[in-house]
Amino acid sequence: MKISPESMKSILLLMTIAAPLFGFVILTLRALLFDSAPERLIAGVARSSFLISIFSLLGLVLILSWGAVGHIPELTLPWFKLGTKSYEISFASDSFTLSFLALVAILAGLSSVFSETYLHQERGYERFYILLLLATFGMNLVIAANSLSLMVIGWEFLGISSTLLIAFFYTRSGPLVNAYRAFIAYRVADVGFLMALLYAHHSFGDANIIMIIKKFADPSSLHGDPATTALIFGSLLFFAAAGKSSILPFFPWLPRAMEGPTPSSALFYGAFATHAGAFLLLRLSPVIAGSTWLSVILVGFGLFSALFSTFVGRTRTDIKTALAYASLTQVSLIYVEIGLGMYTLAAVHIAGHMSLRTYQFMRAPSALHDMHVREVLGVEARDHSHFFDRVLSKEFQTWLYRLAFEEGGIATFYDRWIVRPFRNLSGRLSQIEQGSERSLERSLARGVHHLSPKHDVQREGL
Amino acid sequence: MFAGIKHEDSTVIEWKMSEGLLSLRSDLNSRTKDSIVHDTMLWIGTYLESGQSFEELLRSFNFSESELLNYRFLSSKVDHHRDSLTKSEAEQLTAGLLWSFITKRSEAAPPVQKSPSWHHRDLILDLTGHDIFEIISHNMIQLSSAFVDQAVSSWELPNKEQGFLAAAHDLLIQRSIPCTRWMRRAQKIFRELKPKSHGAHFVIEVLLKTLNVPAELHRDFLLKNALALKGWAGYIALLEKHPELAAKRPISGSLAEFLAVQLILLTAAAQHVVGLTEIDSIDHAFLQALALTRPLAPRSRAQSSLRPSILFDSCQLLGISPRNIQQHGAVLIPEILSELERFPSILRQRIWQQAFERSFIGSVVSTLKNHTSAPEHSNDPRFKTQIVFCIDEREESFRRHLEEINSTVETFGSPGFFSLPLAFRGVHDLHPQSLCPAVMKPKILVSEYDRVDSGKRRPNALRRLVGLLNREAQVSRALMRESFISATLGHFALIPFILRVLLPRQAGKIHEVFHNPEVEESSFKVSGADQELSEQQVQDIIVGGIQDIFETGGIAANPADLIIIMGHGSSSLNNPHESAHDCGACGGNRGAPNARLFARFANDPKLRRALRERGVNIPDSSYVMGAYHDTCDDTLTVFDESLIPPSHIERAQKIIADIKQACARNAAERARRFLCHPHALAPKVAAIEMLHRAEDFAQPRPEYGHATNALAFVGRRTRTKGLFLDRRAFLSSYDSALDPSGELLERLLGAIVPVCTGISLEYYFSFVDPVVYGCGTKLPHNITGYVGVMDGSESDLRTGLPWQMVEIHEPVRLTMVVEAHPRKLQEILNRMPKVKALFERRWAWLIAADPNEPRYWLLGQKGFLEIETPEIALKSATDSLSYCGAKHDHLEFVEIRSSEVRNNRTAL
Repeated sequence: MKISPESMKSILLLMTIAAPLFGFVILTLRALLFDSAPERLIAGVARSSFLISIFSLLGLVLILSWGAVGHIPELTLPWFKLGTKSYEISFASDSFTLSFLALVAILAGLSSVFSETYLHQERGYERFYILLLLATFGMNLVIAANSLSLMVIGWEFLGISSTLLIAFFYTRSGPLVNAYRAFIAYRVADVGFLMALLYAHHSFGDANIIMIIKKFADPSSLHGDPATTALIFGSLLFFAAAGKSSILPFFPWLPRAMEGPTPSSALFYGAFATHAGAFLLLRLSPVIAGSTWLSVILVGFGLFSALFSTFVGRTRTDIKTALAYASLTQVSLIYVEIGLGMYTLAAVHIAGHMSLRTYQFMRAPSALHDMHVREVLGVEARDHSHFFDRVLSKEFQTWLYRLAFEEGGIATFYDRWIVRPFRNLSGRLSQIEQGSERSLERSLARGVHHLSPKHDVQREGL
Repeated sequence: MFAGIKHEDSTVIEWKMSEGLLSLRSDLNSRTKDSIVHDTMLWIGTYLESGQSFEELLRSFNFSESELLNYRFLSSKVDHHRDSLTKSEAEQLTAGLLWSFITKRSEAAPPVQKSPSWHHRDLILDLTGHDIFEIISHNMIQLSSAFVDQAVSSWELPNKEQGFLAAAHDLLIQRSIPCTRWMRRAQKIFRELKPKSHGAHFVIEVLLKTLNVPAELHRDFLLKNALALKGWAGYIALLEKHPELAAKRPISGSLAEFLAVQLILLTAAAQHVVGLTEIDSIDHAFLQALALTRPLAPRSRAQSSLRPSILFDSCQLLGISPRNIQQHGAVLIPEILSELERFPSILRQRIWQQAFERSFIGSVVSTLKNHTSAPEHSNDPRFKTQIVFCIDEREESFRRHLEEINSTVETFGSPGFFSLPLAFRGVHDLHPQSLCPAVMKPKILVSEYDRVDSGKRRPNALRRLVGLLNREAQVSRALMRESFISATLGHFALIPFILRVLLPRQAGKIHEVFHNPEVEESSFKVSGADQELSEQQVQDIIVGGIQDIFETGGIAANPADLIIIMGHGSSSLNNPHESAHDCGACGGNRGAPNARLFARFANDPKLRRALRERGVNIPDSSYVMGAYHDTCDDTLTVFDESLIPPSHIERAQKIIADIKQACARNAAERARRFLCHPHALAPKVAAIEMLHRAEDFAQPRPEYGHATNALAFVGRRTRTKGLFLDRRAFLSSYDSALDPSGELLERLLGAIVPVCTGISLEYYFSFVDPVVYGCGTKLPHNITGYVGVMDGSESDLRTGLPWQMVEIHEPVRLTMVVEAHPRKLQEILNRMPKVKALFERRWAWLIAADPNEPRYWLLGQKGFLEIETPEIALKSATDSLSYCGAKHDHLEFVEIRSSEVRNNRTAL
C-alpha cells in the first residue's frame, strides 16, 4: 500500500494531537477494569504517548521541510451530520499551530517525566497521569482545532482536568474549596464560549475558524455592521478567555489554585490553562482587529489586570502564590499585546512565558536551595520598599500595601454583590422546592396504603 | 475508636444497606459468623411458622416504610422460599436486622454526654454552624506570613519592626478599602483599644473580660486560640527566643502580640456571627440564652453518628445476634458501651505501644548479650587509623562498611559538633550559623576569609552574569523586566528544564561550574561569640573541646598516627526540610566547619602544648585530618589536603580510597530502602544513583534521613563492632574505665540525650500523626517566607517532618544503652534533673550495661531493674551487603563475620 505524502502528513498530524488521548483512554480503561498497576506501567503509557506526539510532529516537520514549505494543508475528517448540515473534525496545521503543539508536547512530556519521581508512591499516581494526558489532549485541541465546535471540547477537557487536579488532595477542605472556585470561574467563562459558538452559527452560519477569518477579511460577506459583529463576537470570546486566564474582570482564582502537586500547578498555571484564552484570541485575531472598541476592552482590562497582579504579587510571601501572580501579570500583558495588534509578539511572549514559568513552578520546592545559591553569588534581589520609600509617603504606602494585601478587596466585592445574592436566591428557591416537595410527600403519604410497594420503590428512586 | 481495625461509619453502612450490599465483617471468624446467622434464621423461622409474613413481622418491630424498603428484595424470598436463601443472602439479612435493631436502640438511648464545651468558638459553632476560627484564619495566616517573611515578597509589611500588634493595627485600620463586615468590627475594636499605646497584655485583658472568660480558664482559652494556628503561633513564639532566625528582615516577634491580634479578630468575628452591634459581653450565659431562641444548626445534630456503627462492629465481634439486641438490648447496649469506655482506644494503643517497644528492647539486649566483643586494636600507632564520626545513626552503616573493608581502622562516635560550640560564618555567608546542639549557645565565632582573594568578596563577572540570569529565571516577578525577559530569554529556560529533568546529575555538574565560587585558600579568624571572652578563654574552650573528644573515646590513651575527624551533612535540591537531614548535633546544620576547624586546632602546635599541659599527650607524629561525609549523595570531602605532611600522605591516600569505597557500599545499603530499586544495586551503581537523587529536583526522597532510628549505644565500639545494626543506632564512644568519676559521661549525656531523643521523638510524632505533628505529604507543600511550608495556597505553617521522610520509620521511642554500672548512672542522672526527667517520664528508655559483664538494667519507676532475656543464638552473616540484599523492610540485628574478622580472631 502506498501512502501519499498528503495522507502521511494528515496521519502524523492526527497522531501528534491524539496521542495523549490514546494514553488517556488506555489508562482510564485500565483503572476502571483492573486493580492497581505498577507505576512503571502507568508512567510508560504516559511517556510513550508524549513520545509518539513529539516524534510524529518531528516527522511532520521533516516531511514539510522536504516539500514546499508554507503550503500546509489543513486536515479534515467527517464528524457527524445534523439534518442537512455536516460537521467536520478539522485541524489547522500552520507553523503557529505546529510550533505550539511542539511546545505543549515538550512541556507536558517533561512534566510527565518529572512526576514519575515526584509522585512515586503517592496515592493517586494513576489519577494524576490520566488527568495530565486529558489536559494535554485538551490543549492540543485548543491549539489545533479549526472550528469552535471542536475547540470547545478541548476547552472543557482542560477545565475539568484542571479542576480535578486542584482537588487532587481531596481529603483536606482547602483544595476542594479552591477547586470549586476555579470550577465556577470556568463554568461562567464557558457561558461566553458557548454563546460565541451560538453567535457564530447564527451570524456566520458555521463555527469554522478559517471561514470566520475569511468573512472578517471580506466585510461585505457579513450580515450587519462588521464592527458591531466583531465587538459582540470578540467580547464573548474575551469573556471566555478571561475566565480561563483568571484575569480581571474575573475573580483571581488562579493564586488559590496552587493546591495540587507541584507539576500540575506548573503545567496548568505556568502553561496550559492560563494561556488557552490567549490562544483563542490569537487564532481569531482578525475579529479583534475588526473592532476598535474591542481592542480598547482588551488593552484596558489587560493593563488593569497586569498592574493589579504585579502589585498584589509583590506582597505575597509564599513561592507558589507569588509565582501565580507573576504569571497573571504576564498573561495580562499578553492580552494587551493582542489588543494592540502585536500578534507575533504575543505569540513569542506566550512561548517564552510558558517555558520560563513552567520551569519556575517546577523549581518551587527547591526555592530554599536556590536562595542560598543566590546569596553565595551575591545576587539576591533587592527589596522594592526602598523604591517606594523615595516616592511615596509612609501612610500612603501602608494604604497601598493594605489594598494589595486584600487583593483590592475583590474577594469581598464579589462575595457581597455576586456570591451572597446568588446563594440567597438559590437558598430561597430550594426552600420553596423543599416546601412543595414536603406537601407533595404528605399528600402521597396520606394515600400510601392505596399504592402498591412498586410505586413506593419508584418514588424512592427519584 | 477501633485503631487498626476495619471500621465503617453509619452513612456507609446505611448506603450499603439500601443497596443490598451489607454483610457481616469479612474478618469475623467463621464460627461466630455462622452462629449469628443461624440464630437469626431460627428466630425468624419461629415467627414465620406462626403464619406471619416477614414484612408484618418487621412492622411489629416498629419498622418504618423507608426501613422496610431495605428488605424489599429479600422479604418475599424469606416468605416463600426461606430454604433457598443463599449463604450471602442470609448474612445480608442478619447484618441488616442487626443494624436496624441497633439504630432503633440507640435512637431510644439518651444522647451521649458531651464534655461541656466552654470555648466561645464551640458554642458559636453549635449555635450557628459558623466556625469563627475558620473565619479569621485567612487574615491571621496572611498577617503572620507577611510578618515573618524573609524576603519572598519584594514589598515588606509596613511597620513590622514595631512588632506584630502594631503592624497589624496599622495595616488593618486603613480606610476605604472594601472589606468584610466583621473586619469593620475589628477595625472598631482596634480604634477603641488603641493597642499601640497600651500594649498586647492590656488588649488581652480587656477582651478576656469582654468575652467573660473566667480567670481560671484564661490560660486554656488562650492556649486553644494559639493551637488553632499552632504553626504560626509557634514560629512567632520561637522568634521571640531566637531573633537571629530572622536575620534578613529582622523583626521583634512576640506571642503575646500574636494572641492579642487573634483575640481582636476573634471577638469581632464572634460578634458578627452572633449578630451583636456593640462591643458587648458575649458570655456563655448570653450564648446559651441565644441558643434557646434559635433552632440548632444541622452540625450539632450529627454528633452521635459514630455510636451505632461502633455497636454494630462490637456486636458482631462479640457474636451478639439481632435477636439478643431485640430482646435484651436495653441491658446489653449500655453494658457494651461502658465496657468500651472503660478500655478506650488511648489505653489500648498504649498497651500495644509498650508491647512493641518491649519486644524491641528484648531484641536489643539479647543481641548485645550474645555478641562477642571485637578484639581491641593493636597499640602500635603506625598500624591503625582512628576516625571520629558523628554519633548519627546514618554513620553506623558507614562505619561498619569501613571496618569491613579495612580492619586497621578504629572508629569512634562523638556528637558531630566535636565539642566545639561554634558560630561559623563562611566566605559567602551573610550571617554566622550556630554549629552546636540547639540546647547550647555558641561560644566561639569563626569567620572564614579567602587569603588569596582577600577583601574581594565578589564572584567574577561571568559567574555574576550567570547568577543574575539565574535569579531572573528563578524569582523575577517584576512587571516590565520580566515581560522583557520572558518574551526574549524565556524560551531558553527549556534548556535547563530539559537537562534538569532528563539528566539531573550532569545538570548538577554544569550548575556547579557556574555557581560554586571556590575559596582559594581559607584562613580563619577566631574570636569569642561574646565580646567579653578573652583570647585565653577562647583558647581554653577550644582546648577543652579537643580534650573531651580525645579522652571520652579513649584516643588520648592510645593515639594513632593518623586521626580523621568526619563531620557530616546533607545536600539535596528538592528539599525544604533539608536541615532535618543535616547534623542534629550541629543544630541542624552541616558539620563540615566543625570537622575542618577541629583538625586545624588539633594540629596547631600551640594548642597541642596547651593540651599536653592538661595531660592529653598527642605525639607530634600524629596528624589530625578533617573530612566531611554527605549522607545524601554519599560523597567524601577531605579538607586541607595540601596541609598533610609528606610523611602521612601515602597513608592518608590509602585510607581515603578505603573511605570512598565504604561510601559506595553505604550507598548500596541505603538503596534497599527506596522502593524504586527492586533489585540490589552494586556499590558503584548505587553511588551514581545517590548522586542522581541529590541533584534531581523532582526527587521528594533524596534520602531517608534519621528514619528508623531506634537505639542509642553509649560505650566502647568493641561492644558493637561487627554488629549489623541496620542504620538504627546512634553510636557514641565512651570508655567507662577511663572515667571513674563519671564527669565525662555527665558532659556526654548532657549533649547527646537531648539531641538523640529530640530526633527520635520528631520522627515518632511525625509518623504516628502526620496531620497534626508531621506535615503530611510533600507534594502540595508551598515554601512560605523562606521559613517553612504551607499546604497549598494557604494553611497553617506545617510543623514536623513530611511523610516522605518518615514513611519507613518504626514508631518506637528511643532505647538508650549506656555502658556504665547502674549505680554510677543513677548518681549521674541525679545530678541532671532535666535528662533524668526525659527517661523517667518515658520520652525514651534507658538501659545500663555493665562494662565488664553481660548484665543489663532497665530504668523503671523504681530505679534500675535487671533485664532477663531468653538465650537465643545470634544469627550471623558474611557481610552487610549480601545480608541486606534488596530487602526493603527492617532487618533483624545480626553479627557480621567477615572472613577478615574471622582471620583476625583466629590469629589472636
